[in-house]
Amino acid sequence: MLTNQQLKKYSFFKPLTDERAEAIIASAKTTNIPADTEVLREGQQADNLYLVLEGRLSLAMYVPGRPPEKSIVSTISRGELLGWSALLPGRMWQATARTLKPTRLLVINGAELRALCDRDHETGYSVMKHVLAVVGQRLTESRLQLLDMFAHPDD
Amino acid sequence: MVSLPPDGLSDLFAVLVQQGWRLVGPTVSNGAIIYDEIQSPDDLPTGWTDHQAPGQYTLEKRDDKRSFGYVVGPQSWKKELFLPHEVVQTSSLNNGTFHWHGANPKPAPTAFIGVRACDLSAIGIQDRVFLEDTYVDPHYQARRNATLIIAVNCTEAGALCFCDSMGTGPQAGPGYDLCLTEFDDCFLVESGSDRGEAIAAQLPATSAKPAQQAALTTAIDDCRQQMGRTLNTDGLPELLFGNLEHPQWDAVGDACLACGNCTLVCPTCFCHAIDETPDLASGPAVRERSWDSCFSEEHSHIHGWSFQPSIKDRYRQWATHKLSSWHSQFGTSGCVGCGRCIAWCPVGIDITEQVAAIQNSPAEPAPLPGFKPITWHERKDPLQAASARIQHIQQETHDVATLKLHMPDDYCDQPGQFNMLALPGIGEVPISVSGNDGKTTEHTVRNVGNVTAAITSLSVGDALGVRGPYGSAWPLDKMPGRPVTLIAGGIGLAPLRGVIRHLVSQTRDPATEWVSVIYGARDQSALLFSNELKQWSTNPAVKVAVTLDRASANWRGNVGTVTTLLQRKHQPDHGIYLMCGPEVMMAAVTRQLSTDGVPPENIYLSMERNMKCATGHCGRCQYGPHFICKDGPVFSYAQIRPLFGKPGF
Repeated sequence: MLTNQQLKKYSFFKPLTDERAEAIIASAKTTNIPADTEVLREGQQADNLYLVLEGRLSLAMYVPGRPPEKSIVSTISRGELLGWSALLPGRMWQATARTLKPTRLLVINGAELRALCDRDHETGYSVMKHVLAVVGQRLTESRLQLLDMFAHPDD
Repeated sequence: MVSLPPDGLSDLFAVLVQQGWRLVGPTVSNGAIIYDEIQSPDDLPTGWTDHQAPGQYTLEKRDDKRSFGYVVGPQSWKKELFLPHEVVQTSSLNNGTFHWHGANPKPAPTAFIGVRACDLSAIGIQDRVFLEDTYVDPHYQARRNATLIIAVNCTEAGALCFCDSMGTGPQAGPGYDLCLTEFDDCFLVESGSDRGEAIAAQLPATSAKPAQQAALTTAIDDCRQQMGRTLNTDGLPELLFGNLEHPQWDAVGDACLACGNCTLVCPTCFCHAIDETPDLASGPAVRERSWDSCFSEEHSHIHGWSFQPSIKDRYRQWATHKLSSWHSQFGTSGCVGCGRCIAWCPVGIDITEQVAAIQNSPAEPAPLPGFKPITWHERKDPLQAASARIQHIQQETHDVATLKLHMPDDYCDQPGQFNMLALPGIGEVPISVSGNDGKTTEHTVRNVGNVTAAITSLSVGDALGVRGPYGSAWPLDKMPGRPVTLIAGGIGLAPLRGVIRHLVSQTRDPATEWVSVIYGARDQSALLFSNELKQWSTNPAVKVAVTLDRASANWRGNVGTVTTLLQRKHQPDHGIYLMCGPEVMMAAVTRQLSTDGVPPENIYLSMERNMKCATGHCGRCQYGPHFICKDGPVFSYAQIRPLFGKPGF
């Protein structure tokens, strides 16, 4: 299991006290996943929150008739969160995540983390603040992609 | 000072003709007093005066026989020195070599008769632009050197005059050869140069009496009292710079027709277009310079979009340039208070009213960059291009090619600078330098318009015209001893390649002087310099990260934008950050770096605007107080922060 020192390298854990960080990972586990493996699938119950410790994953949305590699909307790499939907009860995954290279993940059970956040609002506020920043960053990224800023002027 | 009888004007004209001067002066034509070639005092608008109001100009008969009893007409002396249309060069491609022929102006020596104080000041301001800046315009210079100035003091002010507010009149300042003041019974004549002195000596004049000198002072003072308009210039440049979002700009933008009359009648406006015209009979192509206006859509247009799309943007550009940013650029106001822009505006927009409206409910003033006098002048024709031959072409993507050019021996550049590349009859475009190995210079060109389409279709061995390098460079001196992060988007990697190569060639400490290249592109097929990207990361201090907006088969790398790659790591505030790419990308990146606490002086951006001359004369690339061509294209964020990301600039 990860030590506190290792955890503090990740911005998700950085603002938390040692006790609170330990409480989050008490039930978490790490897992190694080979390349080209589906980790979670669009439409399924959002159960776990993942922190990418190593590797890279793609997020794709299913578009009938379009090859999956052409429907990748984003990639997620070391230090980033995957599956923030698991922080909201009853949510389903919005995209399918596949590993692009051998990947190591910290798997945090969504229901347990939600319960922890409900019990201890300090932890909850810190987690939500971090997730808000992540979601905001992804929104900015999506907007910039939507603008197609590198398009040819005639396009 | 001497006194000349009223009919002494004939003697003055005779002396000027005898000395060989072509005479240009006021004369009545088509219901206006214009400046045209004249032969004798009979051609002067004797007995006429002009009545002016916003959007109105009419001639009326005077009760007396004064020859200079009017204020100013639609024309200024600009038309004689900075011609409305002028061929500035011809060029051709013969036997694979680019031949350039600069025009060799030999203007007829011309005496300007009847130069008003405001217009004399305006000539001084255009001298500052064309003769006393980094680059000297030889066409303007030749005509200016062949000019004799006979000024006339104003003893009557018009309803739209405000030279007194601008400090330019009504008494003519230095710069004239002779200055006349007209009275009913005489002309008082002052000399301002040896030439003027020599002319005055040939006139049937007598020494001016003390009473006559006193009458001159009184007449000038009376004229000051008659000014039809006033403009409070106290702190005005900073006030306007701090009021770029004032609602008055919306109001005037609604009224303005963007006809450009104000810029054409303005004696100091210098913006121009440069058009390339091919000769269908395979003769040399002609490059012609024509007056243009910042009110035209084309003025700020650059491959596909306009930076000043609304009329409000253009009026604000014009007015703030005249009264505010001109001070930063040239150390003087660009307005002389002649009132022409008010009279000749078809809807009667009054610049003094616009300023007063802002002064009545202003936001805080904002500091403008100080004027830095130019100490170096480029004496050769700034439009002169050299022939450069293409040694190698690398097709980077379907619409981007890198041309390796063999440059003239004395050529050298710094990463970040750009050259003007030209093809006779097709046109000229600014292209950043994307590499220089000491012998050859590379330009990476994207086909986005007629000229770039022609340039990217050239073959090895072909020649094209090159002039440069121009502009500012990346701050290489700030890079030793600290981390450097380079953020590129699309074709924006090209201007950064020279500095990346420079850093990659160094031995840098990976712990303290690491180099991070973050490069975003549309898709895999749009990636530039793919092989070189891999080579760069073989230096242990250099990390290269690439991200695409859109994935494709076999792409195992990042999908997303440069902002996502940038936020993976906390960015040190002592690092140096260089970026080039779409402005929307640079805006997102600067916001992110600022959030991380990086001070604006450590962030550098390469900017792009419409550009025709690259020498600070065509006026098109103005970015508030800055010219992108000579103050940029590389700016620190600290320099441009007040404007960066603001619509309409």
